[in-house]
Amino acid sequence: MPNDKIINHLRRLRFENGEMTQQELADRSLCTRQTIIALEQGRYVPSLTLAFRISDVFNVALEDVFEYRKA
Amino acid sequence: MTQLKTRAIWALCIWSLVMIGLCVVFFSKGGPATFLDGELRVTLTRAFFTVGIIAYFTVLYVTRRGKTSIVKDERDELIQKRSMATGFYVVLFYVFFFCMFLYWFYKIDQKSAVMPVGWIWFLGISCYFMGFISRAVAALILEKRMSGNAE
Repeated sequence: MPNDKIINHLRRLRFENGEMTQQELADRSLCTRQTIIALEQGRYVPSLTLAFRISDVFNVALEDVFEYRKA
Repeated sequence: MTQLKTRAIWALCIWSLVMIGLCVVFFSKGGPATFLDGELRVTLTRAFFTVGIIAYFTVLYVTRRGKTSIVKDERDELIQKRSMATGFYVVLFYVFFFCMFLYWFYKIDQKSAVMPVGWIWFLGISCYFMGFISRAVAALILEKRMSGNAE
């Protein structure tokens, strides 16, 4: 199995968007705060639907939130 | 706290208490050999079982809505799925090792062993509790440590 990585810039984007709280981001992207925490810690890679919802909250393109890094 | 975590904590508490109660009643006063002699001990285990079921379904009803607007998301569903699988394997191994233990224990003295039928009652009822307990423990561990991708 290839060891590819998908990293995200959620923390930075939250900071740039008026220090949005994790709870606020969770509510707006229809997930739980625990999922946002897991995402920020790099412990979880979301589904495409959730990834699009998150990028929609920040009003940026998907690749501005998530970054694919080849092994 | 998410609905998943709240329910897992409650399930763990309820079924652990019920399991302890079952073990105390089953192994006291002569243990499995005398378990079916009187109605009291069987009735007590039935009562534990009933109380556990009622308490568990009460928790399910009370926690049907979470504190936040989002009750459950895709990660919770993944945790639930994985904890179900873990619970299944735990019960599988539990039944296997329990049966192997009984076989080993009762075959020592004689070739055609006489095993107290109370063991069957204990195995049947305890694997039900083990399923709930292992599922709750797995859910709590996964909630804290799970890493992986959405399915």
